[in-house]
Amino acid sequence: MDYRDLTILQKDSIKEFFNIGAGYAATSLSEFVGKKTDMTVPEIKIISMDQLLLMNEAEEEVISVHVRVIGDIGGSVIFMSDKESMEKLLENLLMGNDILTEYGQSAVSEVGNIITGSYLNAISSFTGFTIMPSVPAFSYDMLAAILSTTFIEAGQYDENILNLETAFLVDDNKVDGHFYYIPANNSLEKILLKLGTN
Amino acid sequence: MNLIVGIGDMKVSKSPDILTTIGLGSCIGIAIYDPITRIGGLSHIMLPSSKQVPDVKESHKFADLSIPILVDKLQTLGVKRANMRAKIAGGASMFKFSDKTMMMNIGERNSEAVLSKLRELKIPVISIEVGGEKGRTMILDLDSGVVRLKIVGVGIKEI
Repeated sequence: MDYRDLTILQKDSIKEFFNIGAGYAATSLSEFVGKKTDMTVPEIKIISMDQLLLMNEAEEEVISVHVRVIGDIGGSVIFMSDKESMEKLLENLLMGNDILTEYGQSAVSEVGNIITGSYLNAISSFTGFTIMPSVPAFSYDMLAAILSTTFIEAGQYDENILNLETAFLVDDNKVDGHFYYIPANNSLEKILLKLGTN
Repeated sequence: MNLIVGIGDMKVSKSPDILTTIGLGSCIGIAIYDPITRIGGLSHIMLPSSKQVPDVKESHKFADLSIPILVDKLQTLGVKRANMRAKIAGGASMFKFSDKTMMMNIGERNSEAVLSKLRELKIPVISIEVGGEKGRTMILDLDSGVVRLKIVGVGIKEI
């Protein structure tokens, strides 16, 4: 699918179920971390892979959780943030433990699970699809390497890729956290078909 | 001058320029250098083969297409094939899923494709830094032919 062909109606549809998922996710996440969290309205960007990697933050070290989407539709979900922000988000859970320990990685992975689960529930309820998250994979690595590999593994290596990005608020402060939903080939079309905006 | 090679991109230049490519996860960076003319090039490929793709527009995404183009480009700049030396980096397995069926091996397949093509073109590969689980930034110094890799948690490694 050439994402440049997405109509305004289609983009609005995508934002709609994304937004609902964000609502579910924020509630579950708030409970888990014991802080008031919120997710901003997503931005839908159609960008080239090049632009993705030439961002200023491309070489930054980030903590990320990668969850694969399996079932009627495929793709990946990535939740990432810099180490300090992630530590701040999880400070009630970490209780002084280093975030890179097994315990810390577990906590981060659980955040990934929660957010992904919420989004997939939203898509499921809108479309009736059966979709499940895989077990999560934790990374502490270069942003560009994580994103590029995720996009390629989802079969998104064309000139124009769909970048669904939403930012985080923790205790009303904007945190440098990003959530990406990277649909595998045809998955977005399937969703749009079900939503009746194909 | 520092020239950036993007993803699915290739650049050639000469000393004292520096060619840099960022964020090699499963992708592979291929540096080919001639110490005599101090001319060289860097290519950042994403996938092993263009054969399964119906409509190939960007050659430098694919190992099988990019490497021959890089070699030809260097030859037109006066580099003799016999003097070309390659160094490669990347091809990591970025995501350690505890469920192994979730893991893909694009990095490994890229590595095999790159080495195979270089072998076919008879270009000696003098440094190989592939695999592992970490992303890399690759910097080719055209003055010396040294390749520096930046790896999170490791720092800088010269190959």
